[in-house]
Amino acid sequence: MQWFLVFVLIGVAGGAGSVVRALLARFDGWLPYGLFLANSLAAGLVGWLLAGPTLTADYLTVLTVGFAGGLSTFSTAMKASFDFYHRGRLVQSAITMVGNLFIPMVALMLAAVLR
Amino acid sequence: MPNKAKLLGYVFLGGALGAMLRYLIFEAIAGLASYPTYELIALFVVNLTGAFFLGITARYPYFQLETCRNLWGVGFAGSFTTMSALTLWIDYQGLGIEVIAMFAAGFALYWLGFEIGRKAARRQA
Repeated sequence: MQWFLVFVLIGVAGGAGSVVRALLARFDGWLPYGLFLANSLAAGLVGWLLAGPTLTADYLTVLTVGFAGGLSTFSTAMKASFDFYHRGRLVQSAITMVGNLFIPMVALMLAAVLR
Repeated sequence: MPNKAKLLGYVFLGGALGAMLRYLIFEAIAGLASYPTYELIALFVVNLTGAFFLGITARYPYFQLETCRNLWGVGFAGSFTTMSALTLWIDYQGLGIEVIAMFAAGFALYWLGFEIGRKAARRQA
């Protein structure tokens, strides 16, 4: 595939991932469950893609860098943790931080094992 | 009030821009160092600048419009940063001090951006 086409497809996949993340963000309660879910689904997808189906390098790049990258987010995790901290909810802030680190890791390992 | 489909369209546009820019940054840094050094540098660059930028959007007057928030905050800053690549990094390289440092610095930079935006909002009020 031409470099430019890969670049454009990464944009389309990244946009689609972001829309899914925005929709998942509505599952919000005592903790940002939708955010955990988005990051875990993205990590799970990456784990599954790298362990499972045979894809050409270009499609793999589009799906991992584009879709999973757009679906997962570091900045929103920092925002969620900071918002709790700012309102004096230190326990929720800490769980959000640690959860965003470990839950996607578990998702990635599970996806790689269950492929 | 803009309808929901239009707001998601802004998220899509911002997300597309964020993902493409992140890809370019990773490609550019890949030319400067070898794996895994470049991957870690690129992760630091996108995640920390993205967290700082999202912090600015939280209070900065321009970003208070719902369309701007969806385009630049949810879409662009959300997609520009990545957790999946970081998770994959941890899976390959182990959970080290560099990852903890990235989380701590991300939190601090988000806070810094938040304060900058808040000051700008106060000046305008």
